[in-house]
Amino acid sequence: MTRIREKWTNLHRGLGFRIALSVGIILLASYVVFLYLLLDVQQGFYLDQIVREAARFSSAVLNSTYSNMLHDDPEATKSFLQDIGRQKGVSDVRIYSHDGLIKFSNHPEEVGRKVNIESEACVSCHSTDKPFSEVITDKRTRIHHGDHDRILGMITPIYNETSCYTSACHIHPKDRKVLGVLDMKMSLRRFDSHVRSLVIKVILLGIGTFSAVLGTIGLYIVFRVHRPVSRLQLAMQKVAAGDFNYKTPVESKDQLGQLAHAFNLMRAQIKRRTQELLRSRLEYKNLFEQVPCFISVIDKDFRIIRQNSHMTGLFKGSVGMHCYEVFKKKHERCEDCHAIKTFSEGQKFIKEHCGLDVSGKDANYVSYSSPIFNEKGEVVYSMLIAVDIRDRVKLAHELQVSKDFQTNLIENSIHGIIATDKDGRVTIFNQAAEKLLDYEPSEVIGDREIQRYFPKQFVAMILDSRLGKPLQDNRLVELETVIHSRDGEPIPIKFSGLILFEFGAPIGSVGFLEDLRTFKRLEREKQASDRLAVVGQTVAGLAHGIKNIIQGLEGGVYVVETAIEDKDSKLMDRGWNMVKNNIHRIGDLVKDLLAYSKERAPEYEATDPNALAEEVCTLFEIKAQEKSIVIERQFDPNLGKMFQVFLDQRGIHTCLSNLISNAIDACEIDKNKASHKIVMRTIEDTEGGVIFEVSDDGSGMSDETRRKVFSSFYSTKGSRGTGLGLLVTSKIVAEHGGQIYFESVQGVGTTFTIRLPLGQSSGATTTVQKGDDDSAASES
Amino acid sequence: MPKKILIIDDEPDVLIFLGTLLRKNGYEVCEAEDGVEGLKKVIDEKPDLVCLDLLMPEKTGIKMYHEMRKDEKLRSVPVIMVTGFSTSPIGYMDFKKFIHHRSIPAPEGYIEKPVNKEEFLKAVKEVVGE
Repeated sequence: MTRIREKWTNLHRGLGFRIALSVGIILLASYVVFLYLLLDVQQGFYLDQIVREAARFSSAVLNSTYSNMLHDDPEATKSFLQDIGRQKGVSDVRIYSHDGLIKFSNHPEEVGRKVNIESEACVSCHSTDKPFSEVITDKRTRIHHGDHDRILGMITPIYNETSCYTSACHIHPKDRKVLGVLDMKMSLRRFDSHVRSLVIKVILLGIGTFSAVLGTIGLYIVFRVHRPVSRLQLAMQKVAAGDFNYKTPVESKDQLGQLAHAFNLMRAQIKRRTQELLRSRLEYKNLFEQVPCFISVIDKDFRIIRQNSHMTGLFKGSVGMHCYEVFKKKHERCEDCHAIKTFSEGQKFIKEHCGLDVSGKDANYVSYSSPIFNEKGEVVYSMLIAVDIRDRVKLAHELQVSKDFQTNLIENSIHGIIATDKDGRVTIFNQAAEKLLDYEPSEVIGDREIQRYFPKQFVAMILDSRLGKPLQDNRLVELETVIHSRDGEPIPIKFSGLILFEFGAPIGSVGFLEDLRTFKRLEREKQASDRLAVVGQTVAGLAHGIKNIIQGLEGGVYVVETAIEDKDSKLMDRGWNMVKNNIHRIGDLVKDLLAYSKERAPEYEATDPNALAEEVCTLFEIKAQEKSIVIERQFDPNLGKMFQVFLDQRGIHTCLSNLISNAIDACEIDKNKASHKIVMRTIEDTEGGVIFEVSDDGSGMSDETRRKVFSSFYSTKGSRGTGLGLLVTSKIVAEHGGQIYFESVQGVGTTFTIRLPLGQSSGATTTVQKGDDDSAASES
Repeated sequence: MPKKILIIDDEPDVLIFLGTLLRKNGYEVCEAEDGVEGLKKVIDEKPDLVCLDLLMPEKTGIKMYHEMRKDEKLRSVPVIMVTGFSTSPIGYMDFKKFIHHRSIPAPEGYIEKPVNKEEFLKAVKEVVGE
């Protein structure tokens, strides 16, 4: 029931229905009016025809009775009227006299009756006060209902003619104009039935055409209006409900079709716009959530009404809390609130704040407050966008600390530090520089006379860099020079300077001045004390050596004396050997002392290094064999072939002898092996020069021995060594411009290496040195 | 029964000299050229006194002395240290603190090189008697 009502409601609200209804009503009304008029015209036409016929018929009857009247033959008239009365369609035919007396009738019983002037036959003419003399045809007729049918009555007046009042009977006076009337009544049955059938036909035709027209219009409306409109309506409802996918079919090219097409375009447009809107809303939402800032929207009570996830992450606020509670964990508005200014002035404001994060740590942020207006242009909300600047603040703090540290470092450096800017003005002049040069910082800072503070070389570098000349090096390292203090006192300094560049352009320079006054004084003192120490050490070493020799001599003498006393010849030999050995040691000591104490330039002469090495090896061959030591030669055959080698033969001979001698001693001490091997090696130095190597597989050195190997009077050989051998060797090597070094592993052996440059022959120097070295030559 | 004295020194001159001196004064003498041999002879020969040189290759006198004093059997053997250190060019060192400290007792005597015959014999006599 409800559904039916609903359908009805939908139907009668439908545009098609309403159009159909309107069209139907108008059509119906038009039909009704049209048919009514048609019937009326038809009926009038027919009635007119009948009236005319009745008039003609009445005239004919009257004419027929005319002669009978003149002849005063009432019977003939009477029979004639009866004949007429029997005619089909004629119901009554009467002739009234002037007085209203029925003279003749087809119904004989009526004859002689007088009719009332008010009767239906009289009233048409006598309705007015006076009877008309010339009754017009229309007024002569009347229609009244008979017993069965409608009856048309026709009154025809019978006028007084000359013949009438002149005839024999003289019945009618001459002045009488109308003698009587013929009243002819004709039945309208046929007419009425014809009209009825006409009405029925016309109505049927009307209903038929109405239905056809209405049906056609209805169908047209249903298919061309109702259906597309319904679809359009459905589509609109769907769009209204947010469904943009329903596409209205376009079925025609009429206005509705165009409407549907336009609607589809509009739907697509709305869909696209809506999607764009959704997308941009999503983007904005994402932006709001993801932007690495703390975004919140606050109302005029400073309550947060929206916030992004970063806010909740760092400050743990929630919607509804006051912004100052969230950002600063305070209970009242910040004194330096900038949002309040946004509310009052409707403008953006920026302010740096320090709040507290979730863990209670300082959280620095820069907050931008911007107004949000309503449609009236009033500020209703303020959007706070805060950027986290903790890192920046931390960096700034660290930078400050670092700057303070550097300033302290510069100020408290023990070296003078002077810096200039790109224009060559002094910008830094620290305390040490002040102390060194005796200038007040106030008179130096900004000064361009940098040659007062920097050495000439560095000033030249600064000037070159400012002129854009390419520099070989942008730094000057450890230049020892003299600079003058304010009073003109020369101050020895060690200067290091650096030209500072940024992106290839000089931005200044910095110089470091190390005061060498104390150093120079200490150096002088040390040189003096070193000389004293060397003298003392030499004397002590010498005393020790001599004491040892005296001990040996004393011991030897005692042993010899005991042998003489005991007549022990074997003991005598041993004692005498002791005495001889110690006398020999005195010779060695003196020789080494002379060699060490004398400054002596090498005496270069063309030398075959291999022959020299062979000579030394041969010298020690027998001594080595006695101690089960093999001396192996590994000589480089190319040595001396490419370049001639110039060496001080005697000096190098001494060196190699010392090394072989030491090697033999080291092998002798080593009791772990029954036999030992010493290798004498010569190598051509790739850098141009000669290398001599002496290796042994003897005892090797302890750490302590390795440290003291080149100390004067250090010996591991007790009374046998002078403690000067390696010292003499290294001295000779140094005089050659060579190097001596060694490797030694305790229990494995030792290798000494002497590296000598090729040297050069120069006759002049050789002769000069020759005379100088006579004494040394005689001692070898 | 003469007292047996072990002389340990790497210098043959010293061995001949001190050996001759001690024999002449009625002691029985045995000799060793380094600490390893010396330690072996202390065990084998069971001397009444050891004259030990401070500086020797292989095993220094200090090291040997420490080993003797740590060994229960050898701990009681008296030792006279013969040193050349006090006048060494290396500089004067308080070598005594290397020789003995908390757990190592001091040797029975010190003799400095060059050895004075009378002083040496006196020191020996103080330790082992005639």
